Amino acid sequence: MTGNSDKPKNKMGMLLKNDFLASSRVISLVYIVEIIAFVFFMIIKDRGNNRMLALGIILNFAIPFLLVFVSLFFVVYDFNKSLYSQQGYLTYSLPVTAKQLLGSKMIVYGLWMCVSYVVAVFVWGYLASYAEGNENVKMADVALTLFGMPSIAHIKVYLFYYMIMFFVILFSFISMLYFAITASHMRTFQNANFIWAVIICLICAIIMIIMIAIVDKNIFISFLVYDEGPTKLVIGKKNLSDGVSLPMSPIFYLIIQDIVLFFITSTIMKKWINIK
Amino acid sequence: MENNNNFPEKSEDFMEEVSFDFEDLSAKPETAASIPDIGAQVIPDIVPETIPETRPAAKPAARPATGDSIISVRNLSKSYGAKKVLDGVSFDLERGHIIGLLGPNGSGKTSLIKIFTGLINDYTGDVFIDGHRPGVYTKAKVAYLPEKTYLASYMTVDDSINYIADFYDDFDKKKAMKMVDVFQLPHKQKVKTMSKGQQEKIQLLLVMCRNAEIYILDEPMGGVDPAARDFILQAILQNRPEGSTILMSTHLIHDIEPVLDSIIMIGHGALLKQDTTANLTAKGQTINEIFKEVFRNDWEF
Repeated sequence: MTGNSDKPKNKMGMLLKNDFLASSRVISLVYIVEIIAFVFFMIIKDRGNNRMLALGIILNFAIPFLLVFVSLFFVVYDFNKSLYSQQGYLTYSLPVTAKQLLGSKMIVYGLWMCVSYVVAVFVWGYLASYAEGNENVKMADVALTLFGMPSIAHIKVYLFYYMIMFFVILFSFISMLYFAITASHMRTFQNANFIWAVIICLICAIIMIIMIAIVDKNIFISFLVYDEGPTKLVIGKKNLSDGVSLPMSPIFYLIIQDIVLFFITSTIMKKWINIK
Repeated sequence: MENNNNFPEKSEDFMEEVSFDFEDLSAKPETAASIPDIGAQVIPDIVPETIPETRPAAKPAARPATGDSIISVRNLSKSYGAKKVLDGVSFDLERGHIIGLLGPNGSGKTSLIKIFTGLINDYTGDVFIDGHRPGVYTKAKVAYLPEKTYLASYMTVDDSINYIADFYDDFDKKKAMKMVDVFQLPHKQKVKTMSKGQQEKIQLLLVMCRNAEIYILDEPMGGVDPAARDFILQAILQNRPEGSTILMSTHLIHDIEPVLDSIIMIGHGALLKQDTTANLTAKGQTINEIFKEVFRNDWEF
């Protein structure tokens, strides 16, 4: 059997571009609304018109919710629509691998989710700091509290740690959703795929919570940050008087779980999905 | 035999009479406007009084049999649960031919096409497209027209052209833009708001503007009126690069019979017949008649 060995070009960039364009159609509209609402608040906040001020606060409190909700909705909607509806005939016949299809969606929607959360936290933090008196430190403190973080001491370290933790959890959530949606389109679950998607997602979430608890309790990997500056990754639990000890095992577990789910999902997409 | 055929006696004449050049047409809007009705307006003028007893011998685009296969299938089996739709099927498809993939409903035609296009991967046996197993390489070589409307609902005609151009290096975007005008499709209209006929046209255009080695068309003329069927068939024949292979699944055997070089018939999980149309029709039978003969038992009381 002979055949040309000329390899087709890598189209990952095109996948990212088109996934971004497809998602930005709706999500960007909500961003525009949020920008208008924020500018409106900035203009009226010092003018003494209480009704308008109240409207500005309500809008800036509600729209970030909408932003996060729309991003989350699109994570599910576009993935399901572009891969498992009739559009799947187009998507699956593109000259790309299943890993690239999945990877592109995870990157694009993961970033949209992250940006949406960051914008939401910023807007809520700003509103809260305005209500408490416009001090930057207070704003940061309120923002930290929104993340569920501790005191303002070691603020940079905790901020960095929780940012990493937050992004890892977010990507875990997306990879779990994508795994559940994909598995629900296998032949066995195809007749009631929505229900199965919910069930599989719940099972995954329960397993994840149990595993994190087990890992956190039994496997100790700590990231030590000393006040003088040096940092250290150590196996074991340590309480520092001259620095911060951050538990890393849940983060490592989630990263491993994401990688495993990514490979399982792409394998299901490649081998066991038949678009109707 | 009553003449209900839209095709003339000789395929060469047929090609000359009904062929149209999209570039020329795009330069003459008044002519272009009549193109969608080509089947209804042009073909009836050249329909002979009687249907030819035997099919025309050769067509310009077909290559002589060389034994060079573009698709090779060995012991291919595919099941859906307990139901086996393909059971140890083996065959080769000749490069450069227009091949009809024929079989009754549920015979496994679409499954076979999905395997060729990489949409189904859980099968047993071996499939080689141009020497490669279905995958990224073969997807870049195969232009696939599914039975379903596959474009995203948010896409306009121009969006869909840009999308395909992004992924397929063999896509001729200039030609596609010209064909949009020839097909009288609105550039900025969303595909979801288009009529069924317009959707068929845009999908056909996206496939036939690729300079692919293999075209796999699943029921390309299904669900459209006879005039549109002729239009679709002409668009396929006119835009097919020389030497390319076309595998076309259809129930409308009568419509495509005169343009086929060879056929494969599948049913009951097996390959029931495979030969050139010249050989099959040598005794005066049409492919339609042969099809009815092969699958007669499927519909007997």
